Amino acid sequence: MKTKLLITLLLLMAACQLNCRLAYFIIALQFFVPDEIVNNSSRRMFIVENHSCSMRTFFVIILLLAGGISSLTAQEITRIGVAELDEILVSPTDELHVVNFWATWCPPCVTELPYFEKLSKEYEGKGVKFILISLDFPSQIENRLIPFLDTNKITADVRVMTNIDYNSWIEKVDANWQGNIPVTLFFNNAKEIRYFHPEELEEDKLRELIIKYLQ
Amino acid sequence: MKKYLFLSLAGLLMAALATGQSQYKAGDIASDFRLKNVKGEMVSLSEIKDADGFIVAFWCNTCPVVKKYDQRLQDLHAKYAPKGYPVIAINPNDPAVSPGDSWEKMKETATAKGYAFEYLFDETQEVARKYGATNTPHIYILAWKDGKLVVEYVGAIDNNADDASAADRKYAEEALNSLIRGEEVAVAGTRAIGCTIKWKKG
Repeated sequence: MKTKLLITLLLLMAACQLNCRLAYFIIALQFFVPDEIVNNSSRRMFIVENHSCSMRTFFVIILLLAGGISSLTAQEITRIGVAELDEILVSPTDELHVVNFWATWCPPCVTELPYFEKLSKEYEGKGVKFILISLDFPSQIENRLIPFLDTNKITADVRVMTNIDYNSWIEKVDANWQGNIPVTLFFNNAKEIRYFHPEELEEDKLRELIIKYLQ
Repeated sequence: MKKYLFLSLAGLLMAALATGQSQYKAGDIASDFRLKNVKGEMVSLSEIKDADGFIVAFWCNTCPVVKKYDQRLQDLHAKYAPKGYPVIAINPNDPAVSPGDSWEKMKETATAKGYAFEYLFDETQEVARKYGATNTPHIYILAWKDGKLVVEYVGAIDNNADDASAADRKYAEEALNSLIRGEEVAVAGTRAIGCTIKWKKG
């Protein structure tokens, strides 16, 4: 058992440099592997008294490599706080900003997300800046939000709000917003355009609003 | 320039129309209601004996934020019902839009979680509209004053939905403690992220 803890710690330290999810996976893996196998393989890996690798050690190495490769393609996510939200809201650039507030736990948000993803591609380089601000709980970023983005192949600019003292910033987005999601804010500060949409959007409605405020 | 000004004004107007309802805020007089509880009985606030006020919570079975706060609402009832402020939970969601929020499912939730408070079904959504609730959870603390129900607090239970132990502002408790001491409520309104009330379509 001591060896199991030691190998867990070592792997956590090493793998965290690459990707924390990988470390969790390896840790989880260990608890599915019988004690004697882990003990044998860890002795072989760390004490190097025997040069021949067991099948199990080989398997672990392959998994480490595979995990490392997958971590390169995994979606990274920008975490923001109130200061960064402020920065977005006062952005002086002459672009139509479309800022959607959503979460993976909110079914209507998940329904409309593909429309934002689709139109963000359609309007690429056409003066529209999409920012999708996730309000997923900070404890669910790694195990829920990032896998969700990977699975749904979301390539749009997603940022996650980590300040959950909601009352301290909701009003900055709009005076009428009571905290329900989804909501979407359209603005172009250079042109003094600002429109807060207090509910979900259909694809046609989203396109219509973009066209309207892009003029 | 004029055009954009007009556009943004139109936008603001649309937003105002879309949010439509005005929301109760501290100092307003709240109306009573008559809603069915999970036992099938009709409940009105004025018929609840020995209450100095109520913790009215717009609630449901399905919202993850509600689930995060479930134990905290039960704790509020356990702590404040004996002090004159029982919890009255109200589910305003349309089961046609959110099947998990039907009256039958409410019964299941109340039984499974052992709700000691009333859990009412706002089938016509009139109460939610009148109170101006927008999401679940959404808390309204009311106090009886001269035979009227005065709104004393509107908003969140505390400032950390994810982790009760990390909440350093317990807004609902602070308001209730002030009321019980006969003091003015310091923070009478907060906003918090929640699930949009599932309004009837059309």
